[in-house]
Amino acid sequence: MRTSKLVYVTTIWLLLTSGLTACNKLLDVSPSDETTIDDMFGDSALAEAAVAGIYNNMNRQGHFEWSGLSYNTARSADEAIWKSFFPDYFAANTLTYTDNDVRTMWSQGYSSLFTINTCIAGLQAATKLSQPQQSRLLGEAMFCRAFTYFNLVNTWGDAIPLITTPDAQANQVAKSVPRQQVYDQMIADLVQAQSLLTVVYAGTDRVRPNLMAVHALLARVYLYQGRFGEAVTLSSTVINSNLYTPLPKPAALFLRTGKETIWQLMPGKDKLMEPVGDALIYLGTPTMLTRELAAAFEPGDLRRKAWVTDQPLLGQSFTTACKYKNLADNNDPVSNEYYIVLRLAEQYLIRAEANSRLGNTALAIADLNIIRERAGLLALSASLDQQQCMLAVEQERRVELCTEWGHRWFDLRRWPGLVNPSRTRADEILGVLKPDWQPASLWYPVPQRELQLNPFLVQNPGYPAR
Amino acid sequence: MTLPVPFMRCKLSGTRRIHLLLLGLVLMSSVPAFSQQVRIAGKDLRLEQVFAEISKQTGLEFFYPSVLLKQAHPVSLPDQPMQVEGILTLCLQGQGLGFSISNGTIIIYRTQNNVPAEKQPVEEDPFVEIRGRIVDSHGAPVEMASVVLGRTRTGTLTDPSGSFILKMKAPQLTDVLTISFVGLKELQVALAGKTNVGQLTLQPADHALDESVVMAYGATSERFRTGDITTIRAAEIEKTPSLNVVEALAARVPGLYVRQNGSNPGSSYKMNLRGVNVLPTFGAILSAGTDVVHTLSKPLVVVDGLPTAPDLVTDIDKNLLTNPLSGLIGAGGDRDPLYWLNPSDVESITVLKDAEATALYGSRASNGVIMITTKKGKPGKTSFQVTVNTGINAPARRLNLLSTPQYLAMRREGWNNSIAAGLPVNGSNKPDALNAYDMLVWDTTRTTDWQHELLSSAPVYNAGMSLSGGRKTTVYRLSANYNHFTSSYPHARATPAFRDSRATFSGSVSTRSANNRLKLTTSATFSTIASRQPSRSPDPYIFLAPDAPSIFDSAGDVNYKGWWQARAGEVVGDNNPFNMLAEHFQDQRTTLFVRTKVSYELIRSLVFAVNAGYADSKGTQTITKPSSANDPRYALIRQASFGHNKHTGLSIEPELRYKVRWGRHHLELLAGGGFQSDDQEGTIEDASGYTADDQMNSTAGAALVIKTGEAVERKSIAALGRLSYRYADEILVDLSGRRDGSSSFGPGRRFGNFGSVGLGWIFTKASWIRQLPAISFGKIRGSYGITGTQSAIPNAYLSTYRPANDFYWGTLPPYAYYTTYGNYQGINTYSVTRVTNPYLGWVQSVGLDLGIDLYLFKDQRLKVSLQWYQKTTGNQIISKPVSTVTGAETYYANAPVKVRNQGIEAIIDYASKPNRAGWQWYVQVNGAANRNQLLSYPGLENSPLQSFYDIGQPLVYQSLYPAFLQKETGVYSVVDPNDRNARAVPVKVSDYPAFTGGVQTGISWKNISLSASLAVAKQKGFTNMQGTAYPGLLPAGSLSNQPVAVINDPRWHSVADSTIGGAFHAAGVSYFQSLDIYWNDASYVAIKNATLTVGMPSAWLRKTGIQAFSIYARAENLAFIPLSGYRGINPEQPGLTTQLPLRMLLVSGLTINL
Repeated sequence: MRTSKLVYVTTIWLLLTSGLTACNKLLDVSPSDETTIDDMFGDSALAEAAVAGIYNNMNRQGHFEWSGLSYNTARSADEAIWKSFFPDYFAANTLTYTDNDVRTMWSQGYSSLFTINTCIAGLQAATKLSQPQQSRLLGEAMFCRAFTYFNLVNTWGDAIPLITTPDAQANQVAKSVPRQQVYDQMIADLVQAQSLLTVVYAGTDRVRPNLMAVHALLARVYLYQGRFGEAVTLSSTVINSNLYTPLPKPAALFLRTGKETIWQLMPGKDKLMEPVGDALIYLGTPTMLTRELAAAFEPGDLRRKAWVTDQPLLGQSFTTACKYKNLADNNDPVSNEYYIVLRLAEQYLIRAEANSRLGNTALAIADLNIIRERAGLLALSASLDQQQCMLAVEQERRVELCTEWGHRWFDLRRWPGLVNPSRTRADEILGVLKPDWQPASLWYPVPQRELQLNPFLVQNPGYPAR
Repeated sequence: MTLPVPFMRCKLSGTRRIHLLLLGLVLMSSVPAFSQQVRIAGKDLRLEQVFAEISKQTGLEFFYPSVLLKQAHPVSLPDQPMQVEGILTLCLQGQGLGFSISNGTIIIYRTQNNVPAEKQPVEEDPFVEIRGRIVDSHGAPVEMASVVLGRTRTGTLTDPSGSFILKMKAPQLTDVLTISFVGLKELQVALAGKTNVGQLTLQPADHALDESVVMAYGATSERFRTGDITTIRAAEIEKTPSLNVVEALAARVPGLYVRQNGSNPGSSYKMNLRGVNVLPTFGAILSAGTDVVHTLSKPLVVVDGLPTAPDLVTDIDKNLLTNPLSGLIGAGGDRDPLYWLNPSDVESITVLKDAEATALYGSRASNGVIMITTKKGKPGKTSFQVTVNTGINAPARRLNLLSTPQYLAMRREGWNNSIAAGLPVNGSNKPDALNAYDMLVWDTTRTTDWQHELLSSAPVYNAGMSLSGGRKTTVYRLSANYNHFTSSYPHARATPAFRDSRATFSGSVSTRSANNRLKLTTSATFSTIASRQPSRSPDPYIFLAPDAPSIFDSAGDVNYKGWWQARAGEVVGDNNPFNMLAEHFQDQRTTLFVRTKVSYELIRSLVFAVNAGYADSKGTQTITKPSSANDPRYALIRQASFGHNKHTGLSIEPELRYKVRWGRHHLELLAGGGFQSDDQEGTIEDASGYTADDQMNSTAGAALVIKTGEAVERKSIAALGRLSYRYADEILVDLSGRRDGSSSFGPGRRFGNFGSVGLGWIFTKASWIRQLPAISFGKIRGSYGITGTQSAIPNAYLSTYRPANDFYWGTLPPYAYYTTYGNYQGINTYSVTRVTNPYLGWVQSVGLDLGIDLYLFKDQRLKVSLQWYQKTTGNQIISKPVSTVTGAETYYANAPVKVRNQGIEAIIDYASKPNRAGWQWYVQVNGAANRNQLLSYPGLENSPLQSFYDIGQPLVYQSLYPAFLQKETGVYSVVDPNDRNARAVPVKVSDYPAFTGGVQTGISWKNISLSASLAVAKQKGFTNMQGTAYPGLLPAGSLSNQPVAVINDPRWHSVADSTIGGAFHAAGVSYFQSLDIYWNDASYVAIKNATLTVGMPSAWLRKTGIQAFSIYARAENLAFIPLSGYRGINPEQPGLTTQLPLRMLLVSGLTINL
């Protein structure tokens, strides 16, 4: 009797328990309103939608990619000021580590990276996509990661952690790395993207990066790294591709169909709801261009008329930027203006600066003159020395790229001082203009919340460590 | 000769027999059973040797108990071929043994008579066998009944035929057998020297100690339970006229908090056992307010052992504004998940509270378990019962509100004070048509008590019938019920009245095989619910200014124009808030719930069973906002919303039970498993831009359709086991364990182990303590165990994508531009749903319980039960703030957050025996006190939840500020505005009752019975402030009326009145709902229900041939008596600033049993 019961009980118990362990798979669910990563990158249309999601996400990042970077850094530099009863901590270079805008910039930058890293991980593991599609999407994602890191590393310097996976467990304790390490990652990503992308744009309107966009961004990275020869080579490749020339007139430049656009972002649904930067278009909030920037335009510069406007407000005239004119026109289902990220003029300026640094002033002046000619200005003398040539580069970058994508702020910081090369150009120029200027103002503070939650992050000099 | 080693000794073992039987079946054709020749020779061979050799030569197997051969003497056999039968006859001769051969097996048995007296072993069979058979009152055999000899406390169990054989040594004339079975009355039989007690009948239990108590995966009795179990039976359930069985639990279960969220019969309930345990995540708080704490801590509800529709907690990380899973809601709010079940189909409700009682539900048991058992057929005479009743649905409580002259006097006084204090209203420092339209624009000769307009009484109708009966082996029950509940809300012209109706059909069949080994029960319940309600509840508008214009105009349409006027280029007056009476919510739901249990007794005492169930519920809702719901001042937008939602649940639970009684030891074993799956899906389509009202029955005519959807899929799997051991019916030990796997967690974290230990000691059984005065039964019990809670977030571990744009959009102007939303190059982009945490794991509760149960006096009619518990819920899932380099501000993670509930509970129960005149009465008093505390929350100061919680404070609370009365103006502020150093520090107070209790009492005389259930709560709440208004203020929505009592409130009139109370003000008062002076004692006593039943005398019944006939009156929420100065409309939930009126039901009807 006993033995037989024991056999029964044991058999059924074994069945149940073995069933349990075997049924771990049984507990897998795939919610019908969500798509798993495997499914997402196992289907050509869905994989496309995931990577398109990177750009949609960039559109939503009001404080980082989508013009917040342009707006905030323009004020940190000598380009713009927000007229208000409240102090403008960006313009005064008195940011604190509790500043909410800085915190949002930081978190939105990393939010983009999370989206991008999820795509890269998914694409690298994908097995069902066609080879050309997988390469293209991976190339785009790699490019986007480098682009995001370029902005992050130029805002926070040595304080940022290098995040390359979507693994929240590891990432929440990631440590800050020297910025050279970030640059190395950017170069690696872009070099890989070069092998993955072609010159053909995916879809319409140049809203997804192609091989030229990768070259253009890498040329900029090399320039920042002081690798001038490589910068010249890559910018020449872009310029000589003839895809973006001839340069359009300034008034016809910031259009959806602008000829010199290398990569632009397509705005989302309701453009009024998109966080359009005051630095780029007048929206009624009095963000003025500084007197210095307004004065930097030479007489007769076509760009002054096309990109800067004098708005009447309370009986006064305010000088504001208006590179874009009608982003807010929400009755137009297809805007005639997209948000341009990379354009050919910068490539001429990269090549000019690199050549100037290499001592090829004649080549540099030739490139500067192409930009000046388009702006309706007289050509520069071919007899400028290297320092004069650099000043000409500085002037041309300042005007051509004003209030765009942090160029001026990044430039002032990376350029050595004219008088004392051990200081930065920013110290020389902003130190004079701004009473509260400190060399530590060159980098934004790491938000306090981040420091408190992750003990492995380091603060930039001049700000509280915790 | 030499013989081989005996190949085996065959004991009478079950396994062996089964194997041999199988073998025998297989070999039947090849083995000739008889007349085989064998040849065995030798001297003084042991019988074992001979048997082994026979087996070897013939293949025949031997069966015998080894003890049989102990006394056998050796045999000598001649060397010649012999037939098996011959050789066996030779061997067994004179040994007192015989044999039989069948199916290739030789069975050796004792032939007692032949044993010579001197050979009989002395120690053999000193036992006497007592035989008998146990049947129930229907004559059916009672299997597994316990038969215990009182003197030795040893016993046995009855077999499937109800028979037993109890072996006992040295019987005495005074021996008494005690025969007991769960649910049947214990029987004692004096042996008086008999060895056969014959057939004994066990009557149904009439005593609480022996009534069957449903427990997790089984049944026990009050006598032997070690867990904390409270049972409510059908007789009590039918005393409340409520349409939801949850209402029957109110005030009857100590420690159970039950409050209805809306005033519709189908509105959902807050239900918590022993406080709230589960911390909501940040997003859940934002999306649902503090109610979500109650929802997350709701007990698991199982019907006939199977989990039913879950409470729907929306997946908050999808940022959906509405909850597509539960569908659209109307004036009644969320629909209760148990509303499909008709209370008259319920046999009993068992509430399991402590870890011992709940551990077998493991993963979902942290919040306690409520087990509902439906009625099944009973064998016997076919019974057909019809019951009908009708009555009214009326407000349970009315307030005495200001009439227009009183109201205007209050407003004027408020204005005078505000003007004197220099407090402007809308920038104006005197009453004008914009800021005082109630005084200057509206017709001040009108006086409306809005309670009469909105909360009048309305008829309700209920009818039901049931048929039950069956023979011994097959019983059935069929029932049908219909409830129709009209609403008192007024409705606009040419629209059907607001109402709610429900029809339920249920049936069950139980059958068993003649030998009682196979049993099967199948039940099915189908319910359909139809409802038409206003789109929002008009209830808050009982506080409208008494001179507000009428709801409808003379044509019967919503009176928009009467509420405002154009004066001097400006619109003065207010919006008519009653447009919801023209906006109709319609709901249609069906629920099907089928369950089957099959059990088979494999071998004696070992039962295999499978319990399976399937639930399917579907709902469709619409809300239409036609042109008549539109104030003509505003642009006409016709809107309609369409909701579709469904839930499918499947559950399969196999189990194996074993029960044995061996001497003083009684052991029950259970091993089981379970698989469950739950699928929920819901969509809501919001359509607008219709050009005509009659297009609004579909989305087809809409210019813009926004669709949101959600789906949640959950699966779980479990293995479980329980060991229940009793020693001498005095010491009780229960061990249970469960291993649970859930799809809510990622691979590697899916499984959790839960378990409990329960101990009990019936000290009145102990010999040294047995003769206690007054205490006839006493038990001390205690338990310790671990239970769990699943994640409320279905897929938090799973990395997924969702379309950036859940919606599809219309293409007609003016909405065309929406088409590019979330769209990139014409692609509807997808975004990553969440930052995942693959390490998310179980929330765990650790509970400790101690209790004592006493039955006093000889008749055991007075019961006292006390309980102390402590439960700590830890490893909670929270929205953990995380470095944003992960991509998110917070993510779901387990944290060592601990919430502790501790408290005491008591029950005193007395039921008298009917006296000679036929009087009988009973009373049951219960009470519970609970203390809820957040024990620890590491990192709370960095958490987005820091403003919601405090260490050491309860989870559900209000933040209050000490009020400061400004002497010069009579205005309250939270700090002295003249003291620059003053800081407003809030005090956190719990609005969970500190003490809840209930009293159930009844008296009956012959066929007349009267009973009542009272509820008591000691609690705090907002006692003075109603709705959104401060006396004198005219807030938006004109909800400015006050209880008449404010007139007599001591209050500020001048600087001299510096301390007595705040002044009436028309302006400048804010945050008044956070002032501690309005937070006072709000305790109450309520008559939750009362019933009067009059049955026809039996003489009359005999004459008519009717089995039973009674008429009755029943009331629910009959009266609320505040024990303090509470002035509000809902004493049950005084902690809410917006309070909903309570509903009272009064019905009368009759029941006939044919």
